[in-house]
Amino acid sequence: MSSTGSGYDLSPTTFSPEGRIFQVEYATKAVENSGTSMGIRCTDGVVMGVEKVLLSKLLKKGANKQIATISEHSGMAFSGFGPDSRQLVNRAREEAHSYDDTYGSAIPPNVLAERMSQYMHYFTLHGALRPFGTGAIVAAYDPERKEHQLYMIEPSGVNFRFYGCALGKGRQGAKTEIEKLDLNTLTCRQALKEVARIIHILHDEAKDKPFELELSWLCAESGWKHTYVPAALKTEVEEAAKKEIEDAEMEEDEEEDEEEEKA
Amino acid sequence: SREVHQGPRSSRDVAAVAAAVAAAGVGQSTMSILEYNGGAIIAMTGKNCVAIACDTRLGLQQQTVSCDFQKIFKMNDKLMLGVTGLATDVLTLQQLLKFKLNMYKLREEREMKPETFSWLLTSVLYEKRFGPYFTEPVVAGLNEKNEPFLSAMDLIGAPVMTKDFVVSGTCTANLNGMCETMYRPDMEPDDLFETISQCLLASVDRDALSGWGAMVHVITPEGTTSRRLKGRQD
Repeated sequence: MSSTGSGYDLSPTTFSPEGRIFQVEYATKAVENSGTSMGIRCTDGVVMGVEKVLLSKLLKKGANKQIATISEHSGMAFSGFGPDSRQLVNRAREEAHSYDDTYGSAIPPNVLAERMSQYMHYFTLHGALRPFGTGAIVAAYDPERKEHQLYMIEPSGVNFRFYGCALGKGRQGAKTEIEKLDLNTLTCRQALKEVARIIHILHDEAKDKPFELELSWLCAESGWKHTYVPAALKTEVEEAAKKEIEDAEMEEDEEEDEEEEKA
Repeated sequence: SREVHQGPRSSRDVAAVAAAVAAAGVGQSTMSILEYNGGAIIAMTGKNCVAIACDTRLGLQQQTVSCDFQKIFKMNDKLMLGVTGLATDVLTLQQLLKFKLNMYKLREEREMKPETFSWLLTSVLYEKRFGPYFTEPVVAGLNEKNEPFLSAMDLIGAPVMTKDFVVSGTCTANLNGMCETMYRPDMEPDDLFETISQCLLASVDRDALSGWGAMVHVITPEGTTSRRLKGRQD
């Protein structure tokens, strides 16, 4: 499907004859092959979740987080290269802090997203640098306009504002599932369950490595601060999600049995 | 050290003589760079309005060069910046802030609040901590709820945000005294105009380096009224 780079893919400073920058596309592949992450903007807040793939049974549960808080009112979930993501998180934190230092107020979500985009884009223009192998999903709250917003930033440096978005292996499936939801009435608590359910459904027990679900939210209940979902609520949500999946599977099995009987 | 020359020139250092002559006679024996050009600004709050007033003198120590040098600049419909101090820095600082405000407006697609502008000004001044702009600016505006906002700072950006009045310039002792006496809270725009004008004129009349005309701007939610004052031209 993809044409071979054959010489046009050695550096991000080279266009291919069709007008593609292969290095950026390869960076995007790095994101596509990693664990799923997704975000949903609900009526009363923003929710993010990550399928954190566990490469070893010896990893401490709850450590090595893949969702980071950038400033009081903003947070970021990422898919792709861990180290690249951490660099991006650090930069985002510096940008947020420097904005507060200069203007005396919290960085507006669109400005934060723009600065991260510009930073990532910079790495797609220089021969000596390689693009980021991460995509970022940013949830942020603007205390002045009292608006909660969700952005997604890709390795090419492009950023868009979303109601719902997903990155990683299961992004197609996740996006399909998100589109089924009514985002005009969905609340954060409902969305948490949906995110948990979607990530569990898309995770293939047989093929994929075991994973840990990470959830964070930014809503009135959290005081409009980006925080990890409290442990008790997270357990409750995961249980409910798993149960819903089991019930759906049982229904499917029953329907199949009925059809077999009729046939 | 500066020589004060009166009467016939002696065979002294030409530069010192020239400098003293440039001051048209009697110069100051020690000079603060903030007093080189002279100036005075007051800003005062009223009921849902702010007034900001300045003198319009530009001098080179004792010599008056212009009586039309504006020291108050409109940043947007509800925000004005007044700057006293060294005239070159007054202009530079105003231009720099205008640029930053325009970029903010382009990037963020919204107007800058007075508090934010004041904070930005603080950062800009402190950036030059060890080679500062020789200015002491004053910010006056109305926030989104049309509540009055005032702030003033020193040349390295130490801010003061008050509810009643702020002053800046070469005759701050006079200005502070007049404002303290004549200020009342919650004045209507017309009343505020009268009060701030009287405070300014009375103060600059006792200062050699300020005066030579004055300008008063009153900012209300409906718009800004600017008036020239007829004062002593000396």
